[in-house]
Amino acid sequence: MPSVSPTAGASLPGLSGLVLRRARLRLHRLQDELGALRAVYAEREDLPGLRTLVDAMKLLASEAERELVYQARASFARLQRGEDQEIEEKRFRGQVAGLIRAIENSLPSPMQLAREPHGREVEALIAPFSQMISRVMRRESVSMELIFEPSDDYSFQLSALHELKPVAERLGEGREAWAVMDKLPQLTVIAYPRHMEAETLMHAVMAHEIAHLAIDPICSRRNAREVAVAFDQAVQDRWRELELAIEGDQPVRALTDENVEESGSTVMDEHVAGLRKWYVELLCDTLAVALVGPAYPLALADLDAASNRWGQFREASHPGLTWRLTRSIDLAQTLYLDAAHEAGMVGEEWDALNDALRHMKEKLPEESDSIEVVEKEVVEQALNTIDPRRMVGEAFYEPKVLQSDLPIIWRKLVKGIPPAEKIALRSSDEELPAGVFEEPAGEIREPAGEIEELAGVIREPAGEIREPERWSWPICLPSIFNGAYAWWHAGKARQPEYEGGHRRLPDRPRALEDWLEFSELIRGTIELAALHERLWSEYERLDALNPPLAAPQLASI
Amino acid sequence: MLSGTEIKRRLLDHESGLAITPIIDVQQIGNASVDLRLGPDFIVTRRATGLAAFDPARVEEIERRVREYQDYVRRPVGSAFYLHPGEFAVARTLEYLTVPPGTAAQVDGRSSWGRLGLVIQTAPLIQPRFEGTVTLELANVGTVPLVLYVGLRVAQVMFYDLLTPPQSDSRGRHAADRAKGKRVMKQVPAGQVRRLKDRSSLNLP
Repeated sequence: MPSVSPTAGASLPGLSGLVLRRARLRLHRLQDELGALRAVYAEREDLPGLRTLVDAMKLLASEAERELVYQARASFARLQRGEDQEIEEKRFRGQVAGLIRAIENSLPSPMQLAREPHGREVEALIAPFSQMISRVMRRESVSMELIFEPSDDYSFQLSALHELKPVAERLGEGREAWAVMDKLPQLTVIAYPRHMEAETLMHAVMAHEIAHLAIDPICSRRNAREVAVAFDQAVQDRWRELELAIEGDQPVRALTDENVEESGSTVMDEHVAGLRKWYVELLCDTLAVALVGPAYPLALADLDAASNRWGQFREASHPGLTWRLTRSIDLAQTLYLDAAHEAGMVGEEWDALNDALRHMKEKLPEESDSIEVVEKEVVEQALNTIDPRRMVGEAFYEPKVLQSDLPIIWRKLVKGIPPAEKIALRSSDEELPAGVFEEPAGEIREPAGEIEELAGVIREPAGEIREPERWSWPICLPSIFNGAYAWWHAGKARQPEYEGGHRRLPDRPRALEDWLEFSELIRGTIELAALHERLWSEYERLDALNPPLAAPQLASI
Repeated sequence: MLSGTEIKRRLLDHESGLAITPIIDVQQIGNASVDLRLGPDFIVTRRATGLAAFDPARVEEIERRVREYQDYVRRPVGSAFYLHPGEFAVARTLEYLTVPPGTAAQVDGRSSWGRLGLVIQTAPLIQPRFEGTVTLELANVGTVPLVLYVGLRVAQVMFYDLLTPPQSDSRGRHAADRAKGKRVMKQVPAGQVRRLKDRSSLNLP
């Protein structure tokens, strides 16, 4: 590196000096704004994703300025050595322009995420959905951070940091930014419709976006491959029929890579590519049911029922709602409600959930998508070869958990209690978590013994009596969604008009108020359950911090 | 006053109507009280540098003053909240309480924290039929800063059975609140509800 002053840029001749000064000014402005954002997020420990994003952008901006200064010094040194001024200036301006362009193309979107973070109403969902994503991606939660983005519709982005990669690449390998970027956690962005932020139950639809992650090649190459093979196989099996249906009596072509490469984009290729998109969306619906259970089709209907998307043209990004809901409802019925029925689960809560799905299915219009019957069969064939349980892995919402949790949630709602936890010491063991107990360190152990109601003690098989480790367990997010939907569809959350009250304005119908109030209760419930989970993981540290334990001498004052 | 054993029995009995959620460990239930933990939400009041006061005689100004001088702060479980000498913050318990009609409750600080100068609660009575998290008015009246961690056991609640049924029956105001399901998130002090709903004050920048 030449040994000249860092301000050598000021001495650059001609246009280069001006270019450098303007570029540095631009970067200073950017750094100022990022500095302000960083200060704002310094106290928001609960938003690690946004903090990481701002830190990454700040680092890149600093590195970009260092790079500019370095290039200016190098250019200055070359001019001192007598290189051609015109050629040198041109080279320098090209380098500066490339760097500034990379920043201006990459940063606006992540900057917007940081400038306008999610609202309070979705904050409670960050922890449980982060956990769900971690399980889907089979990664530790520390390496994945979730950002919610207020937007117009639900969507997902695997990593906000990918957008910053071009800047890091422009700076070149071996720079600090490159190394730091590689070590940053995965930042997953899930966008949601901002006007529906307070409608907490509807956010069960986010399971569809999380399902996209499950089949993304970056998260699981095996899943992505399996998804692709299933579709290709189905297309291959029905190729001749597809061709006849789509191209009529046109010459038959075998589906081979060579043919596709030779012919470029044919009508068949376009149709198959469109069909593949629908297949992926329908598969994500299937996986969403496996993630959150019957709540998914109910939430999807809430979201889209008024949108007139019952039947779609093949150019649409998603298939029609009739097809999507029919499949999702059928799967939820088979996987969860039929299983509960076989397990002898009966009661008002099960009737409510059953009725909600049944009524929804009965009301579905017969509109169909504008594709050929054989195309639909191809998609169905491919979908039927996928095992959703295996695809979502540890994030699978076990039917036994629903069977265990739904009656508890119902009973708590009857009593006006937020259904956030199940108590381990109740007289029956129906509130115990199904299967295993999870220890704070993440270890899993089998239940230690028979649990009885003995005023706060657990009797172990050996006959010894000890204090229980836990009073209660948090209820998981899918169970809360399902319990809440059952309660809502049973009409239990609806309140009668009070006699003598003022007439309500037409734009504030009772149902809307009830829906928002119930959403508020469920939002608080989800937050309580998440706090419970976090509290248990911090239990030992926090208990040690209590003054009687931390400072026993205080007792003798 | 209910003993710890009776509180435990009622908490285990669905029909009693008494609930404290979440309780992590049975050790939270003492001989005659239940320990409550510090929740994640705080409202901090900045020191006024101009001529300003919350004057109940000028109701229309209170809302504006609240906006000017109070900030909402949220901390995750396990993180620190610094309360400096002479400072005041409104917080809430992490636990959600449901109190049945025939029972009242009282929230108090824990003596160990009191010895350090922390005043926890200045409006301790909880009426029958209450549902929600309990507001804590935190003040450091000591001379050294206190570091509070979200999730620490800072307060305790005691329960009392009423000698006669409460005046308001199931059609009373409290019943209406109960029917509507007084919401978890609404159980923050007056003035803060407005702030909690104000996105600009919550979601920085």
